[in-house]
Amino acid sequence: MTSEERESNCPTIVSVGDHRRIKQPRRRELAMFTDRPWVGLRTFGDGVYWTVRRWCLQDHKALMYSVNQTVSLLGQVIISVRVAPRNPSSDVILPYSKANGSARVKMGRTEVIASVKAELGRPSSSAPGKGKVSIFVDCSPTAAPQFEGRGGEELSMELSAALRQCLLGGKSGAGGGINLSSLSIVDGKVCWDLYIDGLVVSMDGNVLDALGAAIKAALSNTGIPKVNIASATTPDEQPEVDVSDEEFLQFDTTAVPVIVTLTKVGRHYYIADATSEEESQMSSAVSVSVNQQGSICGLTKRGGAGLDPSVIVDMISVAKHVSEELMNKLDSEIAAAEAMEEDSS
Amino acid sequence: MAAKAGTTPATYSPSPTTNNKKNRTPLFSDVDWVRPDGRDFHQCRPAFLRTGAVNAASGSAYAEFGNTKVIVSIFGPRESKKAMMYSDIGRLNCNVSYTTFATPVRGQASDNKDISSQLHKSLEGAIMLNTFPKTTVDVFALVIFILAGDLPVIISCASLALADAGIMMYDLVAAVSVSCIGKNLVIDPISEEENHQDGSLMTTCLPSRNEVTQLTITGEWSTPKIHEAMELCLDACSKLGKIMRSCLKESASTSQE
Repeated sequence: MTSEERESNCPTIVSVGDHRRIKQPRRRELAMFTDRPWVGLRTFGDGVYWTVRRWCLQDHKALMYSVNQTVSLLGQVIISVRVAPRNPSSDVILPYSKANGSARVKMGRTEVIASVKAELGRPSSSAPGKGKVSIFVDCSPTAAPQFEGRGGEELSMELSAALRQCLLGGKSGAGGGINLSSLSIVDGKVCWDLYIDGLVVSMDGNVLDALGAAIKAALSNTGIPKVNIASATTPDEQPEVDVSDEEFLQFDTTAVPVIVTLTKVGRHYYIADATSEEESQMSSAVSVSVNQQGSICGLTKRGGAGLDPSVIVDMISVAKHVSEELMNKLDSEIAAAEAMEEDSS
Repeated sequence: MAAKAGTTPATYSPSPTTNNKKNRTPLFSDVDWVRPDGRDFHQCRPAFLRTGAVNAASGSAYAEFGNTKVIVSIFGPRESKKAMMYSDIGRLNCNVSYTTFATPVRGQASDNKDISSQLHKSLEGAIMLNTFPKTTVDVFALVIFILAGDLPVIISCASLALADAGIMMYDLVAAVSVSCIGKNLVIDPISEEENHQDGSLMTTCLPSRNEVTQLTITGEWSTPKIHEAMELCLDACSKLGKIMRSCLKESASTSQE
């Protein structure tokens, strides 16, 4: 079946009620057929898919975000064809002058902004030779009205904790995406404090992956100023540090991992990069962070439902495969955006 | 102290604190090092579990794993707060608090919300929330003494308390964590080992159903190592599940007499 035949088989959209909501899923699913590869999961035959789809579209109420039988059935079917993640496009790297590095990433309709700011600070007494990194995510009410005031606090805490786990590695520092020892200026006295802030502007599912990509892009854009250290008179005094205005140290982001979230929908299927419609059907999700070498840098499981251990192991291998593709796309996008920035400046 | 035994400083140093830190790390990078409390790499701490610690609560449990002591008490199902919306399934409210003398440095542990939400995530997959609609079950955990981390102890104790309270659950929840130090996988790490770990893996599972409700991995892991660590954890969880069951049976039989 070619894509034209498929398009002619598609039922005409009934423009009753909220027709925008009906149209968008259809556009997305056509894109799915034409250019997304399958990553080795079971798929339904085309015939079965289309019969169910037609039935659900006639009953347009089924596409509302409420849990009823038709939606759960739709959830089961639509999943089998969507496995590859949406294209991340870091189309604008904001020249935000107060931040040392920033990036904006759009994945489908999910949009996030990440900014990196470096400030001088004291290292903690338990790790005098290392700098400090603090990651914080804020969910803005522009993404969803329930995030007004303290409503988004729970989600932002969960996202911050997941990002901290994925990017900072074990307690001894091994496996972390950011080398903390490179942030130290004077052992035990002065170090760089990196404040990585993420802002969720628009939510269409899979915010964690977008944030991971944005942070990676922002870090690659970050320039840490060069410092000149005046010699201290006594070991107890704070040495004088002179921060130069010319950006010097570019962050090495080859070790920064990329996060892939696999959402389990129904009983047998799991998908990568779920939209919020698909996420409303999720029973549980596993977010795996994989670095360039293919080793797992962190894993968080979200959602309360229990998962069989073999399913988790399967998800990890699928995540590794998907992350390779995502990392290549991300690296090429970052390089393109940086080249564009250099051309324009 | 175990860390300083057998190591002598080469030259006199006016600031002895820095010397301590340098001497501590080589302990764990030796090929065959002994754990500070003499356990085998794959041996968990002895677990002491008792239910019925708090009389006023619907259910409670006290757990002591090595030096870590935790009391969890369950109140409920009771009326949800008036401000909350109607819901046709029950709600679970978890709160973990630390006594001020819980950590070696007074008042050190303060990130309660993070641990509370992790406890909530681990327990909600096991509780049949539809058996108590419109009401809330409160899980209050009080950590009496803890050296570091040790979320698995809180989770296991909480599920024992829930069973004691008679809340309907699919299965008991057992949690175990594994630390990767150098090339070795060390199960049930204590705080000293945790500070030098290269990665940690914490599994919360329902032992009889063989389902994982929460899995948290930090640090760098290769896939075969993850498999090995998960197998270790699941094995330990099933054994911990048996211990929890025997504790419940004991308390039930003593209450009958």
